[in-house]
Amino acid sequence: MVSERSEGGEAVIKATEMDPKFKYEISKIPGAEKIMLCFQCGTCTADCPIARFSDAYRPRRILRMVQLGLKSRVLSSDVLWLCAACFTCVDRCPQDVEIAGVLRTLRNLAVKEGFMPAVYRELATSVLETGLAYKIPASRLRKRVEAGLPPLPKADVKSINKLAEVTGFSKIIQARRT
Amino acid sequence: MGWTMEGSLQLRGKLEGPRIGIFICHCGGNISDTVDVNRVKEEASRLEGVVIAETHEYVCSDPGQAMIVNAIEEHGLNRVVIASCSPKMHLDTFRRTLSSAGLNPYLLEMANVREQCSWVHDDREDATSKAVDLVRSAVRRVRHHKPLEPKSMLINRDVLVIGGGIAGIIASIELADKGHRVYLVERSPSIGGHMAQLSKTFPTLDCSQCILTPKMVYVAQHPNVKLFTLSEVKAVEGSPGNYRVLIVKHPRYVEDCCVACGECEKRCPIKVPSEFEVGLTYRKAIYSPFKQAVPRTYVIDKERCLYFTKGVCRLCERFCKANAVNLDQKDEFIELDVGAIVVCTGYDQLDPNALEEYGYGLHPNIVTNLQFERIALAGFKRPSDSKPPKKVAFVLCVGSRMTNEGKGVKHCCKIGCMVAIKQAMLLQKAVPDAEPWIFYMDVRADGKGYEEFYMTAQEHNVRFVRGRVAQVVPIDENRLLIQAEDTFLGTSFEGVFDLVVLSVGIVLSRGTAELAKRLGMQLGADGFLLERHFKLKPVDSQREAIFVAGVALGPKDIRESTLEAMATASRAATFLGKGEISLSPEVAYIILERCDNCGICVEVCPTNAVERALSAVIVNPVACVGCGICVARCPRGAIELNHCTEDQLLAQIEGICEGGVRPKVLAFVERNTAYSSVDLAGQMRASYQSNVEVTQVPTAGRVALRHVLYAFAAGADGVIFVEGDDSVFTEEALREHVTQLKKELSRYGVSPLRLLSITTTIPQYDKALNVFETMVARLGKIGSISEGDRLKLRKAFEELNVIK
Amino acid sequence: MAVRYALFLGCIIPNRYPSIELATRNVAQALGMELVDMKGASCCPAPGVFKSFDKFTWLTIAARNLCIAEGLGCDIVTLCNGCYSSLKEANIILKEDATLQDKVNGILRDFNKKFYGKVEVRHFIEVVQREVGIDNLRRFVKRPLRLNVAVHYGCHLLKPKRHREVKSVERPTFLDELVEALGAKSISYRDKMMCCGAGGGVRASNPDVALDMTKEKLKNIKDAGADCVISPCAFCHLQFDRGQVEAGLQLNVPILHYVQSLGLALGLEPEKLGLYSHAISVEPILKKLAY
Repeated sequence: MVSERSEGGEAVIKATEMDPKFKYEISKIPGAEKIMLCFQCGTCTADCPIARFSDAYRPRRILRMVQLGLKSRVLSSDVLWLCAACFTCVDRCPQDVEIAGVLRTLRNLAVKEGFMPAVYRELATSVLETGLAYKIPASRLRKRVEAGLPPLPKADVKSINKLAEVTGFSKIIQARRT
Repeated sequence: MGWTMEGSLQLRGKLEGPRIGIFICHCGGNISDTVDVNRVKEEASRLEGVVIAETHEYVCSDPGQAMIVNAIEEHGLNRVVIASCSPKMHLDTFRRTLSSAGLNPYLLEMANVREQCSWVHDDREDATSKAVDLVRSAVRRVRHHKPLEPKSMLINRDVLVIGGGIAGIIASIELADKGHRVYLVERSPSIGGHMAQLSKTFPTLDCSQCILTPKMVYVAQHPNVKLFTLSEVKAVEGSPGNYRVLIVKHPRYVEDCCVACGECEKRCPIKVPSEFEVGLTYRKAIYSPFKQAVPRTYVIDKERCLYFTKGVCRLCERFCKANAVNLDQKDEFIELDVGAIVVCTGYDQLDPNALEEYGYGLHPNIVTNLQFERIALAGFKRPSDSKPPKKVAFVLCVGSRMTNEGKGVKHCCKIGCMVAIKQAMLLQKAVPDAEPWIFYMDVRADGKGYEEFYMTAQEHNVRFVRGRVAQVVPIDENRLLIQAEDTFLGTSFEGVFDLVVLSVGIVLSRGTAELAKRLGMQLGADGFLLERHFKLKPVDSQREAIFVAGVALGPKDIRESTLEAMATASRAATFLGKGEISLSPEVAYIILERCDNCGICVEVCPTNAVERALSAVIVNPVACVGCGICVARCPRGAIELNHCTEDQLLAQIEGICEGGVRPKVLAFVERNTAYSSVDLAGQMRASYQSNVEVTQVPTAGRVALRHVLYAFAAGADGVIFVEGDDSVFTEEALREHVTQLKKELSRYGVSPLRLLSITTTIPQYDKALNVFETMVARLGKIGSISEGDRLKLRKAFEELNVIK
Repeated sequence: MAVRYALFLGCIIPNRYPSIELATRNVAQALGMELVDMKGASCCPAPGVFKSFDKFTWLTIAARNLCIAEGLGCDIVTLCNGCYSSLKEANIILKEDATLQDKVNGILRDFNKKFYGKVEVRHFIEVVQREVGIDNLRRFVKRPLRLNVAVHYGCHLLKPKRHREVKSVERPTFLDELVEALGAKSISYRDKMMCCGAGGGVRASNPDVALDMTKEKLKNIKDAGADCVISPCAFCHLQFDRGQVEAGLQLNVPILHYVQSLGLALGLEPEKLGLYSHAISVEPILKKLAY
C-alpha cells in the first residue's frame, strides 16, 4: 500500500532539491499547460473519490510539489499511480487546470525514469503478447462457443508487437526500476 | 491647376524657417535602460532644421519643462519635438509647456519611444534604431506644423446621471447641491439599487436602509433634480459640453396621485416572485417594489398583469380610491440637453447555475449572499421550514476567480469576504448557538477597519476553513452536505449544514454594455467599463465629459462607490465650470478653388459634418471629428485636415520609412482606441518585432492609395492598419477600403500580402500584436521590395499626386 | 432501424462477461441493428495503463483500431466506458491535430493502414438514444422492468466534459430516462456520480482503495432500496459484480449491463442475455419480474 513516506525524500525540503525549471517543462506538455495557474484551493482533492479513501493521495499536494520543482520526489512517488482518471477534478477546477492530464504527464515522465507499478507492466505486456489486456483461458473461449457466440475475432498480435517496437514502447516497459 | 509636393514646398517657404528643438526623456531608466538616448540625441541633432537636441532624466518634471522653456527662448525655437512616453500620457502637459513659453501648442510633436519602443523591445541596438526612426518621423512632420487656434463653444451646465443606486444618488446630490440641474434616470420602478436590499453594512454594522433612505428622499425632493424612473437612455448625440440624450419613459400605469394605500395590491390576483426579495417571496402584478421605495407610486408589471395579457380583470382600477390607475399610459420619449453624463449602472450577480456542483436551485436552503441579506432582514429563517438555521456555510468565490469560461469570471468580487464575515456575525447575534462556517481561499480584508472586523469574527467563533468548496449535496429536505479540503491540514472536510450561502461573483449589469456603445465608452478585459487612466483619471471614461462611478467600473463596496460618486461629481463640475469648451481645431476644411461640388465627401462623412452649399461644400467644425475620410476620398485634393495635412502625413511616413532595419513594417494606427491598445501592449510589457513601427493617423480612412504607395516607395515592406472598434471608420468600411487598396496595389506590382488590417478594442492588444507577427512572418518569406521597384513606386506616386 | 455498427468488444467482455456480448447480439437483432466484427482489433488500449506509459503509443494503437472500423465503413459501438473514452478521445485528437495524425500515419503505413477520420465512436447508450429514441423505445417494451434501479453512469460516459456532448456532467438524466423508458424507476442515492473504483488502473494497482470505493457505492445503493444496479460499462459492471465477492461483501446487489436490462424489457429470454453467469446472482430480480 501507499503511505505518506512514499512521496520520497527527507522530511525537510531543501531549496537545493528544487528544480525551478520543472514546472515550465511540464507546462509545455499537452494536457499540463495550466499547471502554473493552480492556486491550491483544494477543490480537486475535496472532490476526488480516491482521496476520500486513501490518505496518501492528495492531487493538490502533487501540483504543489511540481510548482516547487520537487522533481525526483514527485516522479518516484507511488501516489502518482492512484489517479482513477474519473475527471471530476478536471471539470471542477476553477483555474481550468487539467489535473488528470498533469498526472498523466507525470506518469509518462516517471516511466521514462523507470518508475512504474508491476501490475501496469503486466497488463501492458499482456496486450503485446495477446492483443488484449488479459490472457483469456482456453476454457472460457470454448464456453463462449457453447453459449452460441461466434468465435472471438483474433487480434493481430504481430502488428501490435511491431508497432510497440517502432514507437519505443517495448523498450519503455523493459526499463522498470523497482 | 495642380497640387504637388512642390506646391506645398512653396507654401512652406512662406513660413519662417523651422527652428526645431528636440528633447529626449530617460524616464528614469524606463527609456534609457533600453534605448541609447545619447545616440538618439546625436542622430537627431543632424536632422534638417534641428537647432538643439537635449536629453533629460524626466522631461515632464518641472526642471525638464523649464529646460524646454529656456531652450525656446534661448534658441528662438519655433517647433518642438519630445521623445518620451505616449502622447496619450503627456501631450496636454507639453502643449501647456509650449503655451507658457509663448509658442502655439500645436507646434509640438511627440515621438512615443516608451510604450511603443523601450517597453516592447529588449535589444538595445534594435530599440535605439527604432527610436531614431520615430524621432526622424516626428522631426519631418513637425516642420509642417502650423499654429492652430481652437474654437470655443458654451457648455450646457446640466448633467445626466444614469443609474439610481447609491453611486447615482450620491453623484446626483453632490451635483445638485453645487447648483447643477440633474436628470437622474433609473431603469427600475424605484431608486435605491442593491443597497436598498442589504441588511447591515460592514464593518460598522450600520443599518443599510437607515443610512440610504434619507438620501433617496433627499435626492427625489431636491429642487435641482428631475427623477425619471422606469426610464432608459435610448440614444446620445452631440459632443462634450453639449450632449443631446433621448430617453424613453416606460408607463407605470399608475398616476402620481397614488397614495400607496395598498388596496390595489390586495385585490390583484396575480402573484410574481419579487425581484427585490430575490425570489424568496412574492409580489403582485401591481406593486410597490419595497416599503421605502422612491417614488412610492405603485407600478403595474405589464408582462404579468391580467389586463395586459388577457384583457380582463381591472380590479386595481375599480378599487383605487385615488383614481390613480391609468391603463392607457404609453411610452414617453423625452429629449434632454446636458453638458456632462455620469454613468452609475452598477452590477448583476453571476448566475450560480453555471456551477452545477453547488446545486443552486436544487434545494431551497442553498441561497445566494444577496438572498441571505433578505433572510437576515426577515428574522433568519431558513427557506425550507422557516426554522432558524444553526449551522450555516458561507461559500466564497462562487464564480469569481475562475479562468474556465462559461463557469465564472477571473476577477475577485472584492466584497464577498467581508459580506460573509458580516453575515456570519449577524447570524451569531440573532440565532443562539449558531455555527457560521466560512470556506475561503484568501480572506481579503484590505479596507479601513476590515482586518479588525475579520479578527473580531475569529474571536467570536466564526469558523474559517481554508479550502474551496468542491460540492454541495442535498441530504434531506432541510440539510446539505458540504465537501471541501482543509488545505492547511491537507485533510478532506465534510460537514452537514442547515443553510448554504453562496458568495456569488459580480459582473457588469445587464444592458450596460449596450449603453456603453451608445455613449461611446469602452469595456475593459474584465467586462466592466474602462477608465481613462487607471491611476490618474480613475472616474473619467474614454469619452470626454462622460464619467463613471461605482461597480460599473469594477467590483467595490459602498464606501468606495460613494467615493467615486463624489469624485465624478467633482470631475463633472470641473468640466462644466469651465463655461466653454474649446473645439479641437483638428478638423477638415475646404480649399474652395479646387472644389467642384461633386459631393463624395458629403456621402462618406460618418458624422454628417459636410454639407452641400451653392458652389462648394461646407464643413461644420462642430460636427467634424477630424477622421480624414473625406480628405482621402476627395478626387480633387480639395479638402485638407488640420494637423494631418497631406504634407504632414507624407513627411511622417517618409521619416519613419527612410532609415533603420529592413524589412520594415509601417503600422498606421488610429489615434484613439487603437493607439491606446498598442500602448497597452507596452504597459503590459508584451513584446513585438522592433521592425514594426507605428505612426498615428486620425483613422485608417485618412490613408489613401497614394500614401500607401509612398510608404512602399520610401522604404516600407509591409503596411498594417489598426483601427479601434468604436471608430467612425467602421470595421466594414475598413474591410472595403483594404480590399480596394489590395486590388490597386496589385496593379502597381505590389503583392497584396504586404497589406493587413485589424479592428480592436483597447484591452485586445493581442489582436494588433498577432497581425504584427503575421506580417513579419510573411515578409520573412517574401522579402523586401527591391530599390528598383521602390523607384518605380515613387514615380507612380508622383503621377498619382498631380491632378491633371 | 437498419443501421450498421462495428462492434468493439474490448478485453473485459471476452474475458469475463461474454454474457454482455451475447445480450448485445440478441438485442441488436431484436432492434434490427447490424453488428460487424472488427477482425484484428486489439485492446483499445486501456488508457489508464497505456496513456500513463506513453501517450503516443496509446494514440497509435487506438488509431489502428479506428482504421479497422474505417475499413468496414461504419461507426464503432462500444459497451465499455473505458473503450469508449480511449477510442473517442484518440479519434478527436487525431482529427484535430494534423501533425500528430501525420506522425501516426507514418507508423501505420508499415501496417498498410491509414487514419482518415471517417468514423465516429459511439457508446451503445448513444446509439439507443439516437437511433431508437426515447419515445420509440417505450413502444419496443414488451415486459416492463418493474424494478427500483440504481443507475450508475460511470465517469467516462460523461467526462471530461469538453470531449463529450452531454448537457450536464453533474446531474445528467439521459441514462435515467433510458432506464425509466423500460418501465423501471430510477431511484436517487448518495454519491451517485462517484467513480466505481476501477478506473485509471486503480483496480489493478490499488485493489484495496478500489474496493473501498465500490463498497461505499454499493452500501449507498442498498440503503436507497435499489433492486439492482444498471450500468452501461463493462468495467464498472465487473467492479460491482466481482468486487462484491472480492471484498467479501454480503450485500448481494445484482448488476445488469444496460443492454441486458433492455433485453429483458424487450421480452428476450434471460438465457439469451447471459443473465446466469454473474458473480452475484440476478435471481432475485428475475423473481420480482415473475420469470
